[in-house]
Amino acid sequence: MSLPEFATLLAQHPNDAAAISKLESAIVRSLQRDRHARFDVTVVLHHLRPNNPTPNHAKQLLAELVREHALQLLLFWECPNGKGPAFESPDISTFPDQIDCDRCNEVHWFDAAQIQLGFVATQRLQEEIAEQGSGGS
Amino acid sequence: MAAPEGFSVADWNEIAPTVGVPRLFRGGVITVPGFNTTGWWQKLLVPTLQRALLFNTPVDYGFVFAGILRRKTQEAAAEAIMDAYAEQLREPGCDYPGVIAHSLGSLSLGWALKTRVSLKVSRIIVNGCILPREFPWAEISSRGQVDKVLNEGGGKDVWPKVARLAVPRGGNSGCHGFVDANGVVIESINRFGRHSDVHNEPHFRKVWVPFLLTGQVNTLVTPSPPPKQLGLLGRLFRRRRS
Repeated sequence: MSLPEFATLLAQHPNDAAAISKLESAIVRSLQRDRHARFDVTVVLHHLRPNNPTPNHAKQLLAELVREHALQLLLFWECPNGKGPAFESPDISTFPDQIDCDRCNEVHWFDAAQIQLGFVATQRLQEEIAEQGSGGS
Repeated sequence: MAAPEGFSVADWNEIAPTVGVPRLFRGGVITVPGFNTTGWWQKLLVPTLQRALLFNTPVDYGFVFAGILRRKTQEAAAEAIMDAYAEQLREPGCDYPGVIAHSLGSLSLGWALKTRVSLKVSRIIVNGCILPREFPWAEISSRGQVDKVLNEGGGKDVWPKVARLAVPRGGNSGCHGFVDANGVVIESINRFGRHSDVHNEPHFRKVWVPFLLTGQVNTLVTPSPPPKQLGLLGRLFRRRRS
C-alpha cells in the first residue's frame, strides 16, 4: 500500500502509476538506509530509466512531491569555478548577496544561475517510513 | 549512469505555477520610471533583478510630458503603483516589496504613500528625486509604510531644481536631500551627479540589490552641503571663482 503522499500522486496521474510506484519504492529504500538521503533529477532519472523519463518529467514529479509535503527543497549555491557547493540552505531568503567561497577562496556575487535544487524527505515522510518499518502498516 | 542533470531555479519557477507550489524569490521590487521616458533603465535592470531572484513588477504609465504639471497625472501614477503592489502581494514571499523610483516616479510614489496607508513597502530607492525636501518620511515610517529609504541624488541634476519651481508638490530633494530624514533616509548625494547617473549595471548589482535585500548600503558618497542662500554679490563672486 502506498504512502499517503504517493497515493495522492497516483490518483492524480493514473497513466503514470508504474513510474510513481517505482519512484516511491526507490525513495523509501533510500530513506530506510539513510533518513537524510538527498534526491535530485539524476537520481529520479536513474530509478525510472526503464520508463524512459525525460528530465522535465522527473522535475515535475519532484515538484509534485514537494507540493504533497513528501519532499522539501534543499538549495545549493554552486561555486562558479566548479569546486562544488559553497553554501546550502532550505530557504532561499537566507542566501547572502555575496559569499567568501571556502572552496576556491574567491568572493562570488549571488547569481540565480548558480543555484541548484536538491530534495530531502520532510519530517512527515521520515516518520511515516519509520512507522511503516516498525510494523505500523 | 547518465551525466548529472541539473535542476535550476529558473526550471523550478517555470514548473511551479503548473504544479501549484510557490516560485522561488528572495523578495519583490516595484520599479517606477520618470516622466519623459518609458523606463529604459527598467529594461537594463531586469537581468540584474533576475540574477538576484527579485520578483519585479514594472510600472509603466507611458510618456506624460506636460502632464507632469497636472495633479491628475500624479494620481494616475499612484494608482498604477497600487496595481503593481497588488501584483506583488499575489506572489508568495513578496508581501513586503521594495520600490525603486526615478524622477516623477518618486513624486508619484510619495503621493501614493501619503494618501494610501495600505501601501506598505520595505525599502525604497529614489534617484533623481523630485519630492520636496520636507517630505514626511519619519511620519510615513512611523505608520509602518516603509523601513528604510536610500536617496541617490546629484548636485548637477537640473530636474529637481525645475520641479521645485514648476511641478505641483515637487521639490529638490534629489539635489540636497531630505530635512525630515531622521533614521529613515540614507542620503547619497554626489555633488557632481546628474539625473540618471546611477542607471548602470554595476551600481544596480553592488548598491541597489544589497540595499533592497538588507537595508545596507555598500557605497556612499559624501552628502553635499545644504543649498546656501547667496545674494547677488555672492553669486557673482562664486561664478568668478569657478
